[in-house]
Amino acid sequence: MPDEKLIFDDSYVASDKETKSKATADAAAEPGNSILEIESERYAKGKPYRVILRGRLVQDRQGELDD
Amino acid sequence: MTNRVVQGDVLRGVELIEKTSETGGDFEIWKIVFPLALVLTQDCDLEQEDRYRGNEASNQDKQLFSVLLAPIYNAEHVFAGEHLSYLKRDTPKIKPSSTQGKMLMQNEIPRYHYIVFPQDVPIVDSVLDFKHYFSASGECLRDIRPKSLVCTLNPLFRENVSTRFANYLSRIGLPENAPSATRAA
Repeated sequence: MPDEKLIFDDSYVASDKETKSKATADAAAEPGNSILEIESERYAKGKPYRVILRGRLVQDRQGELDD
Repeated sequence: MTNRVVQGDVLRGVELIEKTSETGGDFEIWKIVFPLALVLTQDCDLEQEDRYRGNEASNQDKQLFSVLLAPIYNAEHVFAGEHLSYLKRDTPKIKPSSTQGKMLMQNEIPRYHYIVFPQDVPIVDSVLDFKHYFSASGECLRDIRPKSLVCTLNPLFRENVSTRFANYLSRIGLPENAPSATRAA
């Protein structure tokens, strides 16, 4: 049975590039985080997939990283 | 439609945080995204948590730490042994026409639960693997539910899943090289 029988919204069939930029935007929107890189091993069509977010904290617990 | 998370909810894009690390301000977050997952937590627990959450007059005795879910796999991917291919996990192929395949589709194998969704639900025939379950925070699920809810299993069907899951989880595992089941007198 082909994957396309799974009817999801468009984001589920987005290309890797589109997915990456969307995820970057979403992650960057989180306050306190500055995302440097997002690695998505494979964007899925109905299968579980792994996403690795890599970034740098804008501020650590002592508030020292921003200096 | 209720706004709370309900046992039997089928949700899209549920995330499992695998691990996180932080060194000197550099961090990594590893997560697995399940395109579809089924809520397994008992509905009375979910209902009570929802009723008492934010109620300052009561204590927090009903509050949950997390909600239990099972990934929902495309049955064809399971039969092809490919449903976990993006996670680099191989699984054995199962011929749908074989005895094992037929037993799986008739829910006669305790480990698996085969679900045929009705025509108005845009999900192909699917399989739960009761070895695979995970938890997510109730807050996260409440946040995504309005946009992620595909459907909710009707009570009779969700109880069927729940009972089969509980039975599988409570099975007594015997070692493969088991000593004799009895001892000589």
